[in-house]
Amino acid sequence: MPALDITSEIAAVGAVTDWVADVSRRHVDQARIHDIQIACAEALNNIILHAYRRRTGMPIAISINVLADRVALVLRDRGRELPAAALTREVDGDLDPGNLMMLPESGAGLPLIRACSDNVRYRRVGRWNELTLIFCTRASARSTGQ
Amino acid sequence: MISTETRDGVTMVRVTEARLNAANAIHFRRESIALVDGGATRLVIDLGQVSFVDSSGLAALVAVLKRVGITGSLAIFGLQPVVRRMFELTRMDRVFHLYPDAASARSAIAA
Repeated sequence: MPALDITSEIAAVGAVTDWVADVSRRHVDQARIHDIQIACAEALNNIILHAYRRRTGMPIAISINVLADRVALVLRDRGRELPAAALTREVDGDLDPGNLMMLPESGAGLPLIRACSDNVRYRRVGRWNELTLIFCTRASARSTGQ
Repeated sequence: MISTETRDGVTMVRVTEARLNAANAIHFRRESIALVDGGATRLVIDLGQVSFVDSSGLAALVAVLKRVGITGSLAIFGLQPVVRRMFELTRMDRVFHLYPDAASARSAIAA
């Protein structure tokens, strides 16, 4: 299973999303790869900016398992625990293009991760956070989200 | 981060980085808002060289849109597929005026 260890630098996120796309490319269609990249980038941003509070040099372990009908992306870090409510938080209200000042400028990370993934699992293992994102790559698997 | 060209009252803003993300969104925001504060009221943002935008990049675009306000206008063109996907996921494709190319974006802004 391909794996990558990085440290918590925002500048590293782009290279990781490229790596994730390269690993997935032989088995996954391009549209789904886009979703994987978006979810991966948002998850990494959350780890670096929130779990580690922008502290650089902290460990992040990433692994990706490309199976026949799904891709499993696992991200592990030793930062702050993710608040339970955060995982279910929705994007703020309905967008009103006519009300510019009310347009949101933050908070889209976790909703984006959920929108791109078929299954999101979080657990705290000792002092590690472990976020598992499942991307189904076959129509039958996508309908069940398994 | 950006290169600019103003012609006939329309300012073309070309993002010169391959990604607009948490690493550089603050620079894009600062440079673009400086343009608006300096008098640019009609902006066309060229994302043709941008292969990835994350939520921080989108937030920076929203900030620029807010600064342009209702008295100005802003159009975007050159969205690559993964960038367009981000706009669709966040429903920002309903907020921003998106065009397929520079000519159509410029025409819409100049009208």
